[in-house]
Order: sequence, then C-alpha cells, then structure tokens
Amino acid sequence: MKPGIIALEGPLGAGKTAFTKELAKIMGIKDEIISPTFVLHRQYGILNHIDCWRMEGGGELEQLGFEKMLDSKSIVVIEWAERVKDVILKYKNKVKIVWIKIDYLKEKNERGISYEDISN
Amino acid sequence: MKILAIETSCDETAAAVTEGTEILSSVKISQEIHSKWGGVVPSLAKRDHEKNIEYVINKALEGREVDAIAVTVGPGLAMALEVGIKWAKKLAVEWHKPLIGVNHIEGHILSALTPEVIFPCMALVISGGHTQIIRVDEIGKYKILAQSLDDDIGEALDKGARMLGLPYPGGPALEKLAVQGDPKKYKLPLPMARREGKAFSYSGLKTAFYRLVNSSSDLNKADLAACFQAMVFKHLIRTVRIVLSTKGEVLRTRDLLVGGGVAANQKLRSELEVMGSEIGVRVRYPANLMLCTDNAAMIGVAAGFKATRGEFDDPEKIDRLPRWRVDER
Repeated sequence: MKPGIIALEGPLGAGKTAFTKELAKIMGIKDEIISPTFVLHRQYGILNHIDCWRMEGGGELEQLGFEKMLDSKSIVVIEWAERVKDVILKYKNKVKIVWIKIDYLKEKNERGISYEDISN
Repeated sequence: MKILAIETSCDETAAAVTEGTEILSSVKISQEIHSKWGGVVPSLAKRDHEKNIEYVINKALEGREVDAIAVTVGPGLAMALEVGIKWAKKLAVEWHKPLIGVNHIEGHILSALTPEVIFPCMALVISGGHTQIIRVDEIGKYKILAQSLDDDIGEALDKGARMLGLPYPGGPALEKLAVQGDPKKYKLPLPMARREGKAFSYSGLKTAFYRLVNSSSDLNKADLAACFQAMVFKHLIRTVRIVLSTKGEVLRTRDLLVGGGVAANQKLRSELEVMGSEIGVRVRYPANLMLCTDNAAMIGVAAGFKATRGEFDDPEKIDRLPRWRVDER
C-alpha cells in the first residue's frame, strides 16, 4: 500500500484541524487532535499531522523529516499545504496525494469542500 | 549543584546555567544572533537548532564547570527535541555528569515560583503551543485540570492579528492595537458557552472573527483587535475562575503561577489581578519577559528540584517524548 498525503488548503478558521479531528476519529485514533500550528508536527500512531502556517517554505517541511514520515502505512495530513506544494509534488510518483480545498460558503456553518487526486 | 540546561523543544535554541533557583546565565539564539543576521532572524535559520546549539551552550557556560546536564525531552517537536537530547547525552557522557530529562511544561510552571508560594497551588501555562490549568500538589506532582481542545491561546492571538494584517508574532502587535480600540464595539461568541470550566477552545472564536473581519471593509481595526483580544481573555479568565473556585474550595489555593509568552500581556495581567483579588488568589509571574517565553533557565530550575529528589536519566535510555503530559511520568 502506498503512503498517503492529505494536503489541506483553506483560509483561517475554515476547518482544516476540525477535518483532521474527524479523520483521526474514523481512523480509530483516541487522542485529542489539537492544532499543530506552533509545534509544526505531531504524530498519533500512523497519522502525522503537520501545519505549515509558520513555515517559510518547503525547506522547513523537509527539515521536519518529512521523507521519513512517508512509509508504507502512514498518512500525513498537511495544513496550509499550498505553502509547501513544491516539496509535496516531489513525491507524486511514490505517494498517493489528495489535495483538499475547504472554503467558507454564505451560511455560517456551511463549507465547500473539493478534492482531487494529484498523484501519478 | 550547577546545572547546564538545554532547551530545543520548538523554535528557540536555548541554554542556561542554573544553581538551585538561581540563574547564572541564560542564552537564546533569537536574542544572540539578532544583530549577526542584521535584523529579524528568519524562522528557518532560527529553528536550525543543529547549527546554533554549540554556540548557545558555549555562550551559557562561559568556561563554567557544571555538576549535571539537563535537557527538555518533551512536549515539543520531535525533530527539535532530538537535537537538544543528542547534545545533552554527549556532554553527560564526555564529562561523566548525571543527566536530567525535564518536562517543558514543568519548566514554565516553576518559572513563577518564589519561596512564598504555598502548596498546593495552581498554575496557568499560556503560550503559542500550550493552554493549561495545572494543579500543583507539590514540586514534581501535577495534575492537568483543563487544556485546549483545538487552538492554543497564543496561536489564537497570532492568527487574529494576522487577519488584521499585523506582523508575526501577532500577540504583542494585537495588544498594542487593542489599547486604542473599543472592546465592546463588535459582537463575538464566548467559546464553550454552557460547557465552561473543563477545557479551552479557540477555533470557533477564530472562525467567527474571520467572518466578522471579512464581513465589511469599513470596520475599525483597533476596535476589532480590542474585541477579539477581550473575548480570548474572557474565555481564559472565566475558565480559570471556574476551575479555581471549584477545586480551590477543596484545596484552598492561595497562589496561581502564570507562565508562557502570553503571560507578558499587560491587559491580561490586569484582568487576572482583578480575578485574583475577587477569589483570594495571588497571581505570580516570572521575574521578567525572558522567563515567560521559552528558555533554558526554567529547565535548569526544574532539573535542580529533580536532582534533589534523585531523579536522573540514563544517557543510554533517554528519549524524546513529543506529547509528554506534565502529569505523566
């Protein structure tokens, strides 16, 4: 099985961490998923949760040991993925990459979510 | 006992030498190389612990000999923690000195400690990556009573500031702007309404603020800053008050130790002061701003207490604990 990257893109407060919380629940992870904005990366078993909000570019993602996280069973969720797209795309032959965009809609609690498999 | 302490749990590469609760030296890369970079240190360079750590250690030691080595082993960023641990291990083995692994949160808790503090007491750790109320039964014995379910308080302030176009780190910029604003001008929701006192949550408020900021182009920025900051603090203080008055009844808490970068906010301090006088709790802070934000001196102080209890770590076995809770061993 290929490892998977879930790249999340969307404005502040759109629900990227909330999405990850739900995903973790579905994966059977019991830990509370909290925002990784300041710590940059947290690992919950096979789920790696990365936040690029405070990163200046893909170099910092690589510094985190990103490549090592991409083993066969792991899922790597990346918030603010558009900031490190160059580095993510390097792995599109080896890794399943789903790009998810979350946007605000008119109604207060509504969101528009689109997704695309961008791996080869 | 002189201790060399190393802290690399997140952004700062820091080292210090402490003796008991006395700080003999304390060095952070962000301070030290500021001028070398000719301005603001790029975060990438700042977080390059590997490149900075030897310099920081030497600068903290300044030729001093120490009796033990302490290092933060968690919570924090795995890759960053590893760098500090590797160096602490190396020095402990080379110098034949005992090694002490320290919890980063314990460092923050003990930053505001003075000899007058009466146990059990309470601690509030508030920063970009932590929002916790902790019961301190005695030094070394803790219980987390409330923490964030999503965003931490410093992160919320930073992101709110970013929405208003303020520079990073946003907390101090937001505080400055908020002084000129009316905190009652716009309506924002109080987080955890009707479920208060068990945990913190800032992501819903963040979303509401995003919607507010983008709802019209003629809103007043200072008023927005004031309203957002006021609601962030209102949630914090209401939660602290609930936790302290319920548990406080049993514990007769007389002291609240506050640590972390957000503890530098003057508006928050004045509000905590009011709360403290209303519920009969003395609110205590670290002696200066350097000790509020991440630093190695607090790790040295915490390590000093561990050393007196005989709690040392085997250099062969010490490992990073990125999600280590302060109330777990």
